[in-house]
Formats: sequence, structure tokens, C-alpha cells
Amino acid sequence: MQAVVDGVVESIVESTKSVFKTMISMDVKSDAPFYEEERMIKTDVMALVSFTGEYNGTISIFCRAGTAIKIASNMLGTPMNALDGVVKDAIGEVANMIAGNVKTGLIDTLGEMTLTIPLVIAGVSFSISTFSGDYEAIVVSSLSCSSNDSWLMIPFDADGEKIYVGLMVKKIS
Amino acid sequence: MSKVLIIDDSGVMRKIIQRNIVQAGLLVDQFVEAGDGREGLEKVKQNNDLNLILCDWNMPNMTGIEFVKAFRSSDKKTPVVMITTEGGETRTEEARNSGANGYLTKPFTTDQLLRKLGDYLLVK
Ligand SMILES: [Mg+2]
Repeated sequence: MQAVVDGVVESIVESTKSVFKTMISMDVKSDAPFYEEERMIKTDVMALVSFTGEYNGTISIFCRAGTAIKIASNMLGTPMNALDGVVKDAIGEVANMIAGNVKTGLIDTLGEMTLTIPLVIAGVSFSISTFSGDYEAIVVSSLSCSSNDSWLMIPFDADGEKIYVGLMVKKIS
Repeated sequence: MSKVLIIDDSGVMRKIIQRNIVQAGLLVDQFVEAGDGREGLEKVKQNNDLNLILCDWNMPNMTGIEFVKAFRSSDKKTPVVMITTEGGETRTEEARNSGANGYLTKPFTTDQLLRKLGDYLLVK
């Protein structure tokens, strides 16, 4: 399982760099991944895409509101100034592109997978545990995740902006 | 006159595609947008003069591949290029077999877009 996780992490790093360079005109540097208990995560924006297949899991972007706004502004080539539906749409597409490329890159090792449409949750420094509804419907159904589960977080730095791409993955027996 | 239909559930992605088409120097007079395959079929009915259809794969209500199959049952001519985050042989094969003419994976550069769409649109 560790080899699988390492492979997914490597693929996430590659895909994230490529998406940011190509679509967002930002060069991102990755840092060492670490585990974070879900209930400890505080974020303004969370954009997640789940995958199902031989392995089930979720790939999610976590970032501050200002970072999300900057990403959306770069993507659109127009300055955005609030964390609105357009910014949420943009971050959802970033998550979608990262997950889609990871899926394609790992088809030989992980097998065919189905991706969900991105789900974006935005607020001010929210904790995931305070959300139910949609988030649980997607994540819990594919992972039976409890608040004790940890995300493997991969940190990225884009001109001082911090972006985290989180991963949860489980083999279906 | 050239008219292009862009079907993608992300409004941001529809704008990015349009901007890249313009930057690539491809000549388009009018863009028509749809947020999913079902809306795409409605737009097709309302616009019988489309020169090209660009279509995402993963969308709510009706996916891109479902759209292509439904569209091809009545129109064998108008070119359709899939623009999607998902690559791989299985997917591109399925798209081709369903009647798609081309396939471009996201993220894409303006050059890559030009290469995929240059056959269907005039270049400045
Ligand atoms: Mg989509």
C-alpha cells in the first residue's frame, strides 16, 4: 500500500505543477508531505474530487481565500476580488484537472477509476468536521471516513501562496 | 462566419477555452455555451449553423460522451472535439468510436489547442 501511496503522491506533485504552470501561470514548488488529522484541518476553501474503482479515495485542494482568489484571477486573466461562485468554480476545475491527470497517469497501476464532479466548500477558516451534507455523502460513501482519519497533505508554494493538496486512499477488498 | 459551441460544466473553463482560441488566432465570430450535455443538445437545436463543438466529458445530467452519441445519431458532419481532464487510450478510443473527431486533455497550452482545432477553424 505504501508503494501505491508514494506513486499517487508523485503523480499529484507532477500534475499540480503542470496544471499551475499551464493554466494558472504560476510556478509551484512542492514540499515534504505530512499526515494531518481531518479534525485539525482549518481552511477557507476545500475543492475535492473523489475516485472509485479498485482503489477509492479523494484528492482535495485546501487553501486560504486570498490564494483561491489569486488562482482564479490568473486563470481568467481578470482580477477577481471576492470568494464568489466564479472563484469556487475555478478552484473546482483545478482539483478536477489535478485528479484527472493523476487518474490517467496511474491507470496502469491503479486500474480504471471513475471521478466525481468537483465539490467546492468555501467559508472562513472552517473545520471539515463542522460540515455534513454533501461532503459526507461523497467522502463517507467512498472512504467510510471518520473524524479520526488523516489526510496525507502535500504542501505547495506558489510565489509565497500556500496550497495543500490532500489525499485519502483505500484499497477496496 | 464561424460559430463554436462550448459544452463544459465549468463557466471558468468555458471562458479559458474562448480566450485561448482568440489568443491562438483562430477565427470565431460567435461562441455559444452550454453547462452540460443536455443543454448542449438544446443549443444544437437552436443553432443549426455550428462549425465546431467542443465538449467536456465529466458533467452532471448528461456527460460529454452521452452527448456525442446522441448528437451523432442525427448529425454525422459537424466536428466535435473533446476537451477533458481525462486522457488515456481507453477514453480516447471510446470518444473516437462514439463519433468525436479530436481529443485534447486539460491542462492545455494555447499551442496544443491550436494544433487540435486548426483543422476545423480558419487561422488569422
Ligand atoms: Mg467538467
